[in-house]
Amino acid sequence: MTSLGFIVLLILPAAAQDEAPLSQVPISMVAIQALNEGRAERYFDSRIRNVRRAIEGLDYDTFHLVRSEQRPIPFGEETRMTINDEYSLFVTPKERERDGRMVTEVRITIQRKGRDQRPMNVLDTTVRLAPGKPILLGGPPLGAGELIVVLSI
Amino acid sequence: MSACRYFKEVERWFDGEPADNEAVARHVADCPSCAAYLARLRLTRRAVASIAERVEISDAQFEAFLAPIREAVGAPRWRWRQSGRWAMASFVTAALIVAVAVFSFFTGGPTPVEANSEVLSCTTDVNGARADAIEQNGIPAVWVYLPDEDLW
Repeated sequence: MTSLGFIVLLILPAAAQDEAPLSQVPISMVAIQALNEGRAERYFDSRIRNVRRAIEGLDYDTFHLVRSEQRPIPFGEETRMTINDEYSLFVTPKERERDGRMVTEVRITIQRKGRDQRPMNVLDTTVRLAPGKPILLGGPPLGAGELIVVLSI
Repeated sequence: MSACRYFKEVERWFDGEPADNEAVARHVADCPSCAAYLARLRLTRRAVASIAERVEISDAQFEAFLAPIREAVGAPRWRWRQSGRWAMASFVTAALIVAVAVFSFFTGGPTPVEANSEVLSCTTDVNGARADAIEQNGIPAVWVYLPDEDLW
C-alpha cells in the first residue's frame, strides 16, 4: 500500500464519523437528594465524587446519591431512566450540532405510589448539552429535601 | 587523512610482498597521508594480534558469517528508500492538513468546542409552580419552584 493510501485510510473514517448520524448518545444521569440538616461540615456521598464540582455551589449541606446511570441511548427516541419509585427521567436526543453539542429534550415526571393519576411533568425542558459540561435539574421535593439531577453527555 | 595513490604500495610493503622497499620507505617518510595510513595498519595488526581467542570459520559457516555484513552494507540504500517514503508520507499529511484548514476557513468551520451547555426552554405542568433557567456557579440549571401544598 502506498503512503497516500495508508493516510487516506486513516483520515477517511474520522471524516465519515463527523458526518454520519449517531445512532446512540452516551448519557450520564446522577440523581441526588440535597438537604439542609444543619451540619457543621457539608456532607457529600462518596459515590458522587465525579459530580461534586457541579453541585458544591448549591445551598445545601447534605448530598446523598439516589441513583446513578450512564448508558448510550438511541438518537431521536425518548428513553426512560428511573430515578426512584416516584421520579423518572425521560431523555430524547434531538439534534447533534457541528460543535458536538446535543439538543436534547428532558422531562422529569412524578408518579405517586398508590394513586391512579397519570405521571405528571414536574419539569419539561430543552437543553443544549456540551460534552463533559453538565446541566443541573433541581427543585422537585424528595423526602425532607429536594431532587437534583446532574445530566451530561 | 587524505588518500594517496601509493596506498596500495604501502599495503604490499606492510604485508611483506615483493616491492621496492627503499622507494616506499622514502615515500612514507615524505608523505604524511601514507605515514598515517601505515600507522593505522600497524595499529590494526596489533589489535588483531591481541585477541586472545581466535575463531576459525569453516566453509559451512562462511555464508552465515557474511550475511550480517552484507545486510549492513546494503542498509544505507534501504534506509534511504525508507526515509524517502516517510518524507513522502509527511508531505502528503501536511498537504491534507492544509487542505482541511483551507476548507474549514472557507466553509466557516465548526464553532469552538469550548461552547457550554445551555438551557433553551423550560416549563412545568404543576399548577402554581414555575420553572426557571438559572446558573449555579457558572453551571446552567433548570429549577422548579413548587407551591407549598402537595403536588397533587
